[in-house]
Amino acid sequence: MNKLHLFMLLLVVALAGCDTGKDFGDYDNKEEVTGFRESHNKKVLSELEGKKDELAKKLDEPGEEDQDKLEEDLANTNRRLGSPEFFTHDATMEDLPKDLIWEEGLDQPELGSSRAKKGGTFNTYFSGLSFPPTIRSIGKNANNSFRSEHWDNVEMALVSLHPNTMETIPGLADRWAVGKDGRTVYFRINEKAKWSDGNPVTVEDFFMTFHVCLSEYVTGPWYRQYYSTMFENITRYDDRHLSVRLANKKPKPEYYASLTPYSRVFYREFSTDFEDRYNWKVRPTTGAYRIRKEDVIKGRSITLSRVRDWWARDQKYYRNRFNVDRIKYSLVRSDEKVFELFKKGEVDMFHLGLPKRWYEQMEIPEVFNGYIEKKTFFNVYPRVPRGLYINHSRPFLGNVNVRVGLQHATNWQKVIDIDLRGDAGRLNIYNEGYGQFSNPEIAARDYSPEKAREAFARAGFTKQGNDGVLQNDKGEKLSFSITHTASPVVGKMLQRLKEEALKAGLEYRLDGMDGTASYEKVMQKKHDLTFWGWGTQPPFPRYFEGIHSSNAYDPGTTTPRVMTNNISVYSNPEADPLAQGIRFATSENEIREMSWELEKILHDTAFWIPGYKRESYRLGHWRWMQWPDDFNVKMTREAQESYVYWIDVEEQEKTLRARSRDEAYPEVDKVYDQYRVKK
Amino acid sequence: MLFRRTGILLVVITVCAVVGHHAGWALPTLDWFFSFEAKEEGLESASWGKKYQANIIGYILCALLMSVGVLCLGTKSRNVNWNPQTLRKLKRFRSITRGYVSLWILVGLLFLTLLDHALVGKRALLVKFDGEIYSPAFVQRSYTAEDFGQKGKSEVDYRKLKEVFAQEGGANWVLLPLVPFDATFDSAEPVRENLMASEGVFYREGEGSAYSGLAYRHYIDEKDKRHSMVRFRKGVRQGREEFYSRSTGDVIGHYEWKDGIRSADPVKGADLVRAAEEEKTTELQAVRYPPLPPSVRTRHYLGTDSRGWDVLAQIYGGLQLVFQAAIIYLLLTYAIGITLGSLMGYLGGTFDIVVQRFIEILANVPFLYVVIIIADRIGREDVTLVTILLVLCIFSWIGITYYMRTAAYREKARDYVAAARVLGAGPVRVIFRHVLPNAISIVVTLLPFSVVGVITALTALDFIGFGLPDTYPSWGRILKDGVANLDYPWIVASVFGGMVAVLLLVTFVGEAIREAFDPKKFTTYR
Repeated sequence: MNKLHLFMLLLVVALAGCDTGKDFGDYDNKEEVTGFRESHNKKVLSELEGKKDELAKKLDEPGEEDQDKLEEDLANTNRRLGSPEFFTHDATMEDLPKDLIWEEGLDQPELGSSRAKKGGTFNTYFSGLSFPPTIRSIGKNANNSFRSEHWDNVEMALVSLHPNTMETIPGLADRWAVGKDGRTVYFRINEKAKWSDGNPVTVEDFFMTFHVCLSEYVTGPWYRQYYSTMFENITRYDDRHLSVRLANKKPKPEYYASLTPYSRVFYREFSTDFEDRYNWKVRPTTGAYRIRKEDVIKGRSITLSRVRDWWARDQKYYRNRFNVDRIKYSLVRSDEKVFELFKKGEVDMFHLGLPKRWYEQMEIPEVFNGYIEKKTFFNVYPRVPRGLYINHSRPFLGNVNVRVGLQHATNWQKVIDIDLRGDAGRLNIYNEGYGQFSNPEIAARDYSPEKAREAFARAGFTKQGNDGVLQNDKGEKLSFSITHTASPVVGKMLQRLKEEALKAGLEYRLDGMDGTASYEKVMQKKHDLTFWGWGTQPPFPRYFEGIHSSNAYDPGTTTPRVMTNNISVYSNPEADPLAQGIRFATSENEIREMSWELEKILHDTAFWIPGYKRESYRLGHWRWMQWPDDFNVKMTREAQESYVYWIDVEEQEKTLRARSRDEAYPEVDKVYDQYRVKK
Repeated sequence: MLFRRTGILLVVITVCAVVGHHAGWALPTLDWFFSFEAKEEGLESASWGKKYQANIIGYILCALLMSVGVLCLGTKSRNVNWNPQTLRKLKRFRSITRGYVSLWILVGLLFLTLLDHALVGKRALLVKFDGEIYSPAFVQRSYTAEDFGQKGKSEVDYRKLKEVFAQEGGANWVLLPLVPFDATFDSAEPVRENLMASEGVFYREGEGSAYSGLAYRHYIDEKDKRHSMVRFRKGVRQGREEFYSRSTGDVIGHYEWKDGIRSADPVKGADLVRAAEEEKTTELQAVRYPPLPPSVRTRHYLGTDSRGWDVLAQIYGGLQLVFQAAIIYLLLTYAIGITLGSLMGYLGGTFDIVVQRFIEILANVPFLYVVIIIADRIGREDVTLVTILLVLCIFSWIGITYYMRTAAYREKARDYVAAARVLGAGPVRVIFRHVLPNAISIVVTLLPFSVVGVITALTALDFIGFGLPDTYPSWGRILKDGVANLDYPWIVASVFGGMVAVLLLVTFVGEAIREAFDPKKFTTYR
């Protein structure tokens, strides 16, 4: 052994030493779990009683508050006090209602393609362009962009929604039933369901979900809040039967009651040091892919491996999906580099959203020779409400005429035509792309300097200065700043809006800052306008957070309420009941009617300036990556998240051979528009 | 004569500036004096000082220039005795051809930039309309489209107006500046080029190789509306030919092309597509989106950047900015640096020690963070050239004090200083009348390199995105855009070439000055 070898050996030992970090002792939280159940039940009971007393007191001494609402609250509290237990662990099969109508959801179309082959490795990259700080699914730093790859998209829940029809399909549960009260959902766990470590999935695992999510050991209040306010009860009937009761009635209650299990075995060491202990601990899964310990190479890559003998591999909706053996996520620090790796064939697939990439930088021999195929897929997914949000609490912006003028003075169409090459569409309403819930009758106000000037004139802005900006009688200028996160792409679009707005006598001042700083400024409600887009989630549109007046001003004052999602500081007594109503609606019909009406109000009051929407995603992939004939399922944000693709190893060899010999295949540039929405 | 001429020139400039401002003219460069308007804070009514800020600063600047001019007029050349040493140095400078020629080229560039919107800008120099002559570029008011018989209340687009007048063929005409674009916020429209077919293969006008890319048809009577789109590969059509609905812009159907042969019937939406084919449309056109390449036809002589802003106009604007910056920066930095440095050297003692410690503290403040913090506090859009220069000055006078301090220390010990003090001269007189002229050569040799410094600093700040807002033209930002779009080499080549040229010229001048002011004629380290 020479010196170099010795040095390398020492280095390996030293690095391995860093890796293991702290040594955690064994621990079994069995007793703690039982204890927690009892104490939580007591806590819920005492909270309910406290609330009841408080409400009764308030009702006795009439104040400013709404009597009806108080009575409703009291009735609800009394209802809950009828069965106040949160964890019911000792029920038996006798307690299960006999007259339940069980559903199995097996009448929907299949998802995968029968042509799919198993095997191969899908080479991809961390979409966050940084190495994930943890592979936990919950707790500090867990909400990173890699979590969706190993948790949200892979792990199975009791039931899920069919991505084409939006009907409920079975997951871990093979049948379910909704109780008479409309809020209790009964599930039966599939007898085949098991974890990747071989243990069967039982009701205990779902009790564990609540144990973890309600725990104080998890940093951040979100989970505790969500799980304690959304749910009222979980009941175990036997190892395979459970019920979950929701706090509010919902359409499709089974979807809202669908829990993702936390393995009772894996989380037995869940304790005060949870976040440290579990940071890099590999988890057993009920889904198709798991992370093996040796596949986490810190700072370089993480690889998912297909679970051998996966319990759901022959289940309808799951067969012919999850085809590749391994998915390798490598760390690449910049988007440009990923693009270069993709062109070399080291990354198998790349989304080509930017027009420059799609139209100009893909004019390369690899595409002409058919090694890389280009695909455009028109998906259906709630569109991101992206545009300029107006802060109604700022001077002049509270005036509806000014806001209507702003809408007419903002030339999104030109941004779409030039900066986005006409590939995007104009967004018309706040919650678009929710199918029947989105009002198709409203069109966003078009760009027209004349109409804008008329509207501004109604607000008193009639004189025009030498700089082309309108002024009112007091010499105050029609000038607003747009707070945004500085980025070349966004900057260019806003500069175009600024140039165009001046034609209508309006000055936009661009206030580009670092992401955190602009977020902070907007959350403090110190902006005039901001370029913003909210994340969306099917199936139902959400209005409450962004529109309801309780999030607008501090009660009884004119100070905007900070750190709420109502970044428009919008307060409209007409809109409030609708926003509230949609949140607690119990039927799809109700949601549809109210959301159509609410969109109309938002349009009439010029709530914001809707921007653009992407109706499709487009990507390039190497020939060996293959897809079903109709390419993908309807509700996908990105192509890979439905796992319907497969890697053909033989094709891969053929293509590489063809490339080295300079042989060509026909060029492929396909458009899949079967789900394109027609106006 | 020299003083007289300078004096007259300065007085004339001042008078023109003031008269021009009040008569509502916008004279090239002279309107700069009154351009320091306060940025609106929120939309509340401003205070008196803010309201009249432009006038106040304008008059102060004019008064300064005027007094210098009058002072020059008052000086009689006979009474000025040039130091023979200085004359010799100047002569020697003149004999160094490279530096001397560079200086004249720089002066020439300075003169060019002084022409301002007479040379580069979107406003027309002259417009003849209905028998009357207007000169929009040289007045402060802006003409609306209605003033020239067009529709709309926003400012008239003179480039379009020229086309319209040319089409009408009447007596109306428009004379545009040589480069008819503003440096910022004046973006070019995408350019449409007809495709020419030759033996079934399509070419872009004036291009040798067959066309690959997308081609569009638009409606004749509604040129902004797309009619259809098809993809070309090596001059033949390939893949989908999509047709769009005239009312909504949605796809109504498509044909399928294969190696230049079209499917017999539309693959989708046959009826609608057939109806659409009856419409009158333009020829097949390729569309070039910004960055547009250099072209005499589009008048983008150096092309545009990725926003569609003219590169030449931006380089020109950047050059103006650089000259302004250099003047303000040198005046401020050297005034502070020389004064403090000489005082430190001459007074010595406690004053020297205190200021030295202060300098040490200042020298340890990270410059970039200060710029970032200030830009964040006052808001990106409200940062002005003066703000940035002030921040630069706060940190850059330090370097000059080092030299002046040592020089003053050295000179202080000489006999002529003692003589002056014996004659009763106070410290200020001794420093500025006796010490400074003997130490000035050190400072003069530094000057050109400070200019290089401030140019690179401004460019670098813009490059990393903490500099001036987009309303200012900036070399740094085009450079950044060019580096991000290396496929369009004209952007980065133009700005890089321009910047290197200016920096080289300044460096040549600097070298020549250094050599001319070197007391030893032949130095060993050349």
